Amino acid sequence: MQREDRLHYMDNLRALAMLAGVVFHAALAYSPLMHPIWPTADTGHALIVDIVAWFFHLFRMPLFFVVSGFFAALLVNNRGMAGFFRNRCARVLLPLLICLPLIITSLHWLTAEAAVNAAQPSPVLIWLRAYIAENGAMPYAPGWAHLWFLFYLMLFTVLVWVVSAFELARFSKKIATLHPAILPLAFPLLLTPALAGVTVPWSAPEFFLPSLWALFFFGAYFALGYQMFLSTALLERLRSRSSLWLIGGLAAYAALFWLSNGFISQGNASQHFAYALLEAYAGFWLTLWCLITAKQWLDSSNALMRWLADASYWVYLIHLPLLFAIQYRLLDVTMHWTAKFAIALMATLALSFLSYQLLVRHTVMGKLLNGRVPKKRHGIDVPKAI
Amino acid sequence: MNWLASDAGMVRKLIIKDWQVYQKQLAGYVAAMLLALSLVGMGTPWMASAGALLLLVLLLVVGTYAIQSSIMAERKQQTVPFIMSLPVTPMDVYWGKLLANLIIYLVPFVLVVGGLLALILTTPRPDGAVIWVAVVAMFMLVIFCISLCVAIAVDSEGWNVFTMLALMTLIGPFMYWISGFDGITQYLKSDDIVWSAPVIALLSAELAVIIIAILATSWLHARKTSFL
Repeated sequence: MQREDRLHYMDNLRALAMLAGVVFHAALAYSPLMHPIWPTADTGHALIVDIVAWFFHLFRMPLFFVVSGFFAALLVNNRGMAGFFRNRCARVLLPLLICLPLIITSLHWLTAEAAVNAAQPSPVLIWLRAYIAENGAMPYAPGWAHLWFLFYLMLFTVLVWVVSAFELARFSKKIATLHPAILPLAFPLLLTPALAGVTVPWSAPEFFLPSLWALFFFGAYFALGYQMFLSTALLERLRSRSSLWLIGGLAAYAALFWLSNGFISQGNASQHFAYALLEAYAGFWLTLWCLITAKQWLDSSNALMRWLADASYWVYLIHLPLLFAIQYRLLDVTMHWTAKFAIALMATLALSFLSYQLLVRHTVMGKLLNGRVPKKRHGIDVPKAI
Repeated sequence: MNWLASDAGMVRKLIIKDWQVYQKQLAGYVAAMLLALSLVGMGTPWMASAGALLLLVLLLVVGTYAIQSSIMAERKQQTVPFIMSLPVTPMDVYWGKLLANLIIYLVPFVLVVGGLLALILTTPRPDGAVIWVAVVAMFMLVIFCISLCVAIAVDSEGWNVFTMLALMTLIGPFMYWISGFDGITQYLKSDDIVWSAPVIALLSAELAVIIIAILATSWLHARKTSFL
């Protein structure tokens, strides 16, 4: 592969997965399920939000980790293990260390302000208001916030070295020769025990220490992406049944939503295991369908998609404080939830994109996040090496 | 008497050689430590206890195994004649062995200690335990450094094993002793992280032992004019 070539469908998928995260977080304010625990929870909420938002939740991050695993294999292939480590430290660890304190501090400050000032506070803000009145300050629970995925990417970077040291790549040839039906049927079964150990739908592993279930669950998707690079025919062999994965994924999600009463019921032990099983199958089949469809429809690039792909990392990094700032103010505005959702989402995206173009794209930060600083040539950016 | 290596590039190559030889085992330990940290991160008391114990055991084993495989095993396998055939001085080999083992040990050490500190600071557990962890972690480092220095300096497997076992036996009594140590005990169940004078003195003493052990071994090696 030429160093200047881009895998457009992977780039575009990663961008879409990240931008879907912004939509997901914006929607949580209007989710009945999240109303008791989400800081910006609004009085206006509707079941449709839960149906759509949690649907995307099932395969958004798995898809992201598949893409990450794929690019990890590409980096190891092109630059060796040391080059891979250097790249991950520059593109993942450094942005994490730079952005985390700023994001945590701003989220803490925004929430403290809203807890004190909001006229129509969410249940979380009501609880915080009482806590502040009693203790004089907000409780502080450090974690990775929405940047937890960067922490896990660094852990998977270490695990790539571990797997490489044990020379486990030899198994990839065996996996490549398996019957095409085995992977879609067996892979979710492997994921089920991890999902059975947490709530349905799974919550973000934001705690400072790694979560065993998340290491296994997202690690399996990361390994799948890595394997996809090593066995290029893997996805092709699953292409012929792509509609099956979509229908199966939709059916599994519908069954999960219906049986769990819109995720309100976690059920007894056996029911919970059944929910985890459905969640695993729905998530995997939909991830598979996205990969196959993206290779078919998104494997091209134009200036806009290239720009979006570059901007998505920055947008994801900074979107949550912006979103919270807007949604805290919208709590006191009388308006239909759909209008609030649209305003919060559009304003967050607009500010994020604008700040990317003005403050990041042609600066050191842009180089840190996207590699080489794009050169302007007749208004169109030159494609960069991965 | 020259205490320094003659060729820094050669020392680097010797370190990389030891790293590559030991890589598979180190990878195994790092994976096991990630598992142990994840167990601690699960939050349930018995899982957290199992994870913490696994971390301590792995930390002991990783140090012992590094010394065993990179120093003692090399002597047994008589690879010294091969090293003697290289354009290296005894001090090059000495610094190579010392630094390689320190690097190999410090990777999991930093992971474990960092993980434990993060656990204390990010959970409702009393933050005062940070001091206890710092002193115990430093003691583990002292034990590793002394074991390493003895292994490098003394050409006897029996004495090396004896030293390691003797030092490991001290871990339990040391943990018990510092749990009642003035400057630690009164803050163990509080959220105050107090670096009191006795604690600073204790940490300084531990650091001094590490420095003395390395200096003494370096002095012994610097007197050598040949590998024999």
